[in-house]
Amino acid sequence: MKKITKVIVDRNLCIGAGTCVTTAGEVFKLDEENKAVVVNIKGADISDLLIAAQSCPTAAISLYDEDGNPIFPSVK
Amino acid sequence: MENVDFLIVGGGISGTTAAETIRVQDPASRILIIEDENYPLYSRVKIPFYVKGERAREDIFLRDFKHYSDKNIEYLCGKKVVSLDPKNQFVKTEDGTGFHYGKLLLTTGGVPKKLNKYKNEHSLQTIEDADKVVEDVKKAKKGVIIGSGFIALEFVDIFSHYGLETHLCVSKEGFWANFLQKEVSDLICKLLKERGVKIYYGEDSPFVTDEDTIVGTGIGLDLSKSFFEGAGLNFDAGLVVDQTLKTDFDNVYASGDLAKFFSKKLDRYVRYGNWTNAAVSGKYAGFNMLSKNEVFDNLSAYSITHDKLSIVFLGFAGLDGSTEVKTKVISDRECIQYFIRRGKLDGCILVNRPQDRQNLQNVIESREEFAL
Ligand SMILES: Cc1cc2nc3c(=O)[nH]c(=O)nc-3n(C[C@H](O)[C@H](O)[C@H](O)COP(=O)(O)OP(=O)(O)OC[C@H]3O[C@@H](n4cnc5c(N)ncnc54)[C@H](O)[C@@H]3O)c2cc1C
Ligand code: SF4
Repeated sequence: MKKITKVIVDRNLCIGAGTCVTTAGEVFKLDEENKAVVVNIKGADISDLLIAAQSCPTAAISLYDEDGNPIFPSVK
Repeated sequence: MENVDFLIVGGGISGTTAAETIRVQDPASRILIIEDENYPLYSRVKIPFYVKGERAREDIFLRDFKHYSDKNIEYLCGKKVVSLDPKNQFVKTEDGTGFHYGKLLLTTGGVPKKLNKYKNEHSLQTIEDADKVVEDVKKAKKGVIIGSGFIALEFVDIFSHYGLETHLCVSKEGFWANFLQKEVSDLICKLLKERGVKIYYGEDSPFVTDEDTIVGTGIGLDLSKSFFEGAGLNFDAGLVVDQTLKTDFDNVYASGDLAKFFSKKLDRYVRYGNWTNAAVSGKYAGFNMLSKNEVFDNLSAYSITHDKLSIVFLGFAGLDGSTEVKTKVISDRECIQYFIRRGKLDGCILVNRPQDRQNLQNVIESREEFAL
């Protein structure tokens, strides 16, 4: 699988459930508004990033590879 | 009879995450999910957004059928498992099909308790429940909610959103009185009243049987366990598992809302009913079914924000004989209820204090002495 080089959290979708923070705590943090922000994209390996994105209850996390192709979500 | 390496009963977020975790590590094994509902994975958390018309129905789906086949995960939906024989590693579905498994994950969550008392009564758990609410809420003028807790609050928000006259019927002792101290319960009721909600204590609203009333119930879940009752698994208000999410049977695991696991952090058994716990325990169950033996420990968090009311549950926010409960009222709109055991903070409930969440989580995790 290609490297994930871009991680985006859609703030309008994020409800602060914190699943991403629990799954990949080095990458995501909750800010004062209880929304997830990306703090360090290199903080987790690819499978943890995938699980974080795949288990977000609102599908707020999008992952892109080095060529800019979307890796997740596959359903939109 | 079919043979499956990894059999997962329940295709919610926990079962799906487990299957996907196994697949990443093990490209060749046969993985089968058996799911009672007829849909690919969708987000229960997003159901209220769909019901309020803030998201389209298709937006709440998190997978499509193709996703499973792309990952070579078999997804048998619309099938209910009706029996389990752990000694012979065998489960059976309603239509009589038998499956022999190598490793089994039980992740069947629960179903809402029903009153079955009123004509226009609704639960809010599945996409089909949501479809029915969407249909009926538009015809209603009044909304009556029976019960306390997160689902009751979702109904309050939905009925208010549709401009219905909203009535909430709670127990005589108050909103969520089995969890909340009186100050906290009263504060939540006050904030709901400011929103125009009329509250009834220990009685049903007189409008509950009106033709133009929709009734929403939020009176708790019954865990889905009937198919493994009598199979020798240890069930005690949750399917009891060890720190690796394994039951008393070597090749049977449990995760998600169903599982009651031993939390090393809190030094107690806990069962949580929230999305993060379901997803993350699914991931660990997947690893451990591959014999990785990783210790699972998750500090629960559940948050809800509606209008001017935000509530966060953190850690073990429950009552038992050894837990002391204290409340700090911060202002006329904010308070925190603490659950303390043996001088340490096990959990808390924050009303309109989301900014304290991280700090308190750190305190719970530190296991240092805690004093208010
Ligand atoms: C309306 C609503 C809003 C919510 N909002 C939030 C929120 O904001 N934040 C949060 O953290 N949590 C929230 N939750 C809770 C969260 O959705 C659950 O904790 C989580 O979905 C549990 O996942 P699970 O996989 O353990 O169980 P489930 O999602 O319940 O999945 C279990 C599956 O097993 C299937 N099953 C059961 N018995 C059988 C059988 N015998 N054979 C085959 N299949 C079977 C069921 O059909 C079900 O699909 C909400 C829940 C609801 C209903
Ligand atoms: S898991 Fe999704 S909803 Fe939850 S905090 Fe992360 S981005 Fe937000």
